[in-house]
This record gives sequence, structure tokens and C-alpha cells, in this order.
Amino acid sequence: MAKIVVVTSGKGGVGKTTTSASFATGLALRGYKTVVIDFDIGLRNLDLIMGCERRVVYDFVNVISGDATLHQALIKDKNCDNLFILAASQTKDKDALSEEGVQKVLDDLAKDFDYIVCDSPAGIEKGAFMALYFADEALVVTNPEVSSVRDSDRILGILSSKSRRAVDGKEKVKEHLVITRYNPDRVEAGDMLSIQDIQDILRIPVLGVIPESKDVLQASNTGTPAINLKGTNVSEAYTDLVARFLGEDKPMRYTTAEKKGLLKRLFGGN
Amino acid sequence: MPMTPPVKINLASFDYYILKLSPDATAEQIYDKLVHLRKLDAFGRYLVIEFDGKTNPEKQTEIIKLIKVNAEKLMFELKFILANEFALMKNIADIPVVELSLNLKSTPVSSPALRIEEPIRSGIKIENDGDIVILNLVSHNAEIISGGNIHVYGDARGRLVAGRYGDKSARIFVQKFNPELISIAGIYKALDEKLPEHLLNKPAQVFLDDKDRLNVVAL
Repeated sequence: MAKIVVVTSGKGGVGKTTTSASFATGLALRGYKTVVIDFDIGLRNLDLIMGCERRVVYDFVNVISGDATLHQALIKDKNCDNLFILAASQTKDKDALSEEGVQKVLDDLAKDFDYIVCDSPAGIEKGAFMALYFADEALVVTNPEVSSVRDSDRILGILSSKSRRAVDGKEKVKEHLVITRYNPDRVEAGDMLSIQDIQDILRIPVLGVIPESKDVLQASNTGTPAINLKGTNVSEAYTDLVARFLGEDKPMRYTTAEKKGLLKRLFGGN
Repeated sequence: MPMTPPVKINLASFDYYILKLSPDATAEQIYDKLVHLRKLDAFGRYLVIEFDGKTNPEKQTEIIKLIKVNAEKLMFELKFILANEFALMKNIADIPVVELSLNLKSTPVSSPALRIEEPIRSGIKIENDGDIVILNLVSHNAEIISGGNIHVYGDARGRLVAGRYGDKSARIFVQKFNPELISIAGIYKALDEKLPEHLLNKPAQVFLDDKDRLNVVAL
């Protein structure tokens, strides 16, 4: 039976889609058959980040409405054999997502896949609700600033009260915290919340801390999941995150400010 | 306006709910009280009506008829009416009147306390007519509303409302005090300024003093 993992946050622009793309790619690279679904109907982005924008013929809504089969709509990733993408529709709106429709698609996917990663839209409206409703586990993405953390808290509340597991009285959705755009120097300077501050508010285990980096923007622009930018700290951080998700013990990296030497302090540089 | 909490008495093998009424109770107030009673105990079927103060017979009859209609809708059985020594009738609207001096032992309905072990997240509202005990954090913008006391054994950062039905003896006990709002029996205070060092995130209790002022005291 496939495990359904939602990547959610409440707030927009914190890195849900970037995390979904890298997380799904990471699982696939570890040999798990993975599908990543874009729930942001009307504002689709996942296909851009995954670099398969021009290969989208049929989308998630077409499958729900019966205009296309899953087989037709699933897009195979160009780099990784185990990874498939189900794009969102750009022309419909979120009302196209019905509970029965989404459930049917997830049930069908569950037969073939090990992991189903649901990339949630921002907000707490229907799209976000549908993305988290069926989840077994959740990656809650947050930036080190107060409003993002507050919105994540709200999403955690919805996960624990309105998800299917909560409604059915089953074991609760397993929650993981993913902190993105973390900059240890700015934390030290007091401009950003520290990991400790965030955990103090949210009280859920941290699965990964992704450093703030120019590489993420470059990855988006070139349609490559950040985890595939070999040698960058973002790629390493996402690889660690996936390993921890799969139960491995990896120490956190890129979370402490670099001690700058005299030369570096004199001549700057990053 | 806060309602007085319903009262439960134990007679023989049945629990009776006493509905305390002021002589000028309106139809809505009566209905609200009945609905509230129904929420407290989905199986309680017996109802006793008690009049506070003097009521003239016509007014009594009118009110009782009103209750009868509503009680049937909500599946309550009206057993008898408790009246004070000025009660003039042997029965009202076919329901027997019993003198209040019968000295029935009555206790306020003790709704069971609600214990919660999960964190209370932003946007979540927890309500209970009895005490509420929370063994975890209460996030910003979460609401805890209790008919009795509130105990929070984690960080309390949300809104804490105790004694919602007007119980002025209700208190709030907190392990790490930093709530946005505190209220007891409808008297509230928004804590928008930084708390003094001896209270901030420290164990504290909140209670009403004899002049109905909210007091926050370190524990």
C-alpha cells in the first residue's frame, strides 16, 4: 500500500513546491516508485520546477473528470525512471477537486506506487484541504519568520482535526517539520528565528533544514529539482532529509554560522 | 449575560436536572437552558423546575406550558416543580408542585473534566462545560473555553476563558504563562503588553477577587 505524504505550509512562497519536487525525486532516487501530484489547480508550478511543462497534455482534473486515464496523464520524469508527475490544470479552478474524485485517483495510484507526494497549494481553502485530507504523513514547510510559523501551526491544527485520519479516529497523521531558507548568519544576527525558536512554537520533530541559497532559484528557472544540483548544499540538505524520512540517522548540516577567518572578514565574500 | 449552570440532584435511582428559573425568564432563555441541559447529558430524561423568588400563578402556568412544549421536543420528562414557600398551587399545567423546603440535596452539575494531551494549534477551539486540563501547549490564536477551571501544563499562548456560565470562583492555572487573553465569568483582559518578568512563561494562576477584578499571581 502506498504512503501518502502531503507537503503543506499554510503560507505561500515558503518552498512547498521546491520541497515536493526534491523530496519526490529523492525518494525515487532511493528506488521507491514515487508520484508527485500538483494540487494547486489554476496556478500550476510543479511541472515547471520538474522541467516537464511542455509535456503536460492531460492533467489531474482531466483524470478526475474522466476525460483521460491515469496512464495518459502521468508524466515520466526525464532523469529518474521511478518518478512520475501528475500536473495540475491551469484552466480550471479548485472546485474541480471533489473528495470522491481525488480519492479514486489516489486509490488507483496506490496500487502501483510506493509513495504519493501531494504538493499542496497555499492557504486553507479547498485545494489545500484536499491535498492534506488523505495524508498518512505530512511535511510542514516553514520559513524562519513569525507569520510562516504561525500559518504552519494553523495547518498542523487542521491536520490533527480535519484530515481523514482525524475524522476516522485513526492514528494521527505523522508530522515532520521542514525549515527552508534558513540562514545561520542571519539567525545569529537576530534577524531570523532559530530552529530552537521554531520548534518551541510548533513542537514537532525537524526532518530537515534547507539553507537559503541562490541555487534554489537557479534550479527553478532551469526546471531541475534542487536535489539534482549535485555538490550544492541545498542538494545535500534535501538528500539528508530524504534519508531521515526513510529512518536513517543523519546529523543536521548547514545550521550553524560559519566562523569567518580574518581574511574573509577583511575581504568579504560569502 | 452569563447563564447560571444547571443543577443536578440525585433522588432514588434517577438523576434529575433542576431548571432554575427567574420569574421573568423569556421563552428564548428557557429554550437555551434546555438545549444546554440536553448537551450535558444526552440520556437525562427527568427535569425539575425551580422558581427563584415570587412568581404569580398565571405567569408560572405560562412558563411551565412553554417549558412543557420545549421539553417534549428535546425528550425531557417533566417530573415535578420545586417552588418556594409562596407556591400557591398543588399543580401547574398538570405537573405536581413540591415545596422547596423539602430540602433536596442538590449539587451543581459536574460535567466531566476534559483532558487533552495533544497540542492545541492556532485556530482550534476547545470547549467544555466542566474543567479543561491540557497537558501540552496552547498556541497563539487557539481558544480554550471552560465552564469551570482551566489547567494548562504546557506553554499557554492562546485565549483562556474560564467560568463561561458565570462561575466567579473558576480559576486558570498555567505552567508557562503567556496567554493573549484571560477571562473568568465574562470579565476579561487582553494581555497585549509584555508581561513582567516574574510572570512571563512562569507558573501562574488567575482568579477574580471580591471586587471582581482579575488577578494574576505567580505560583
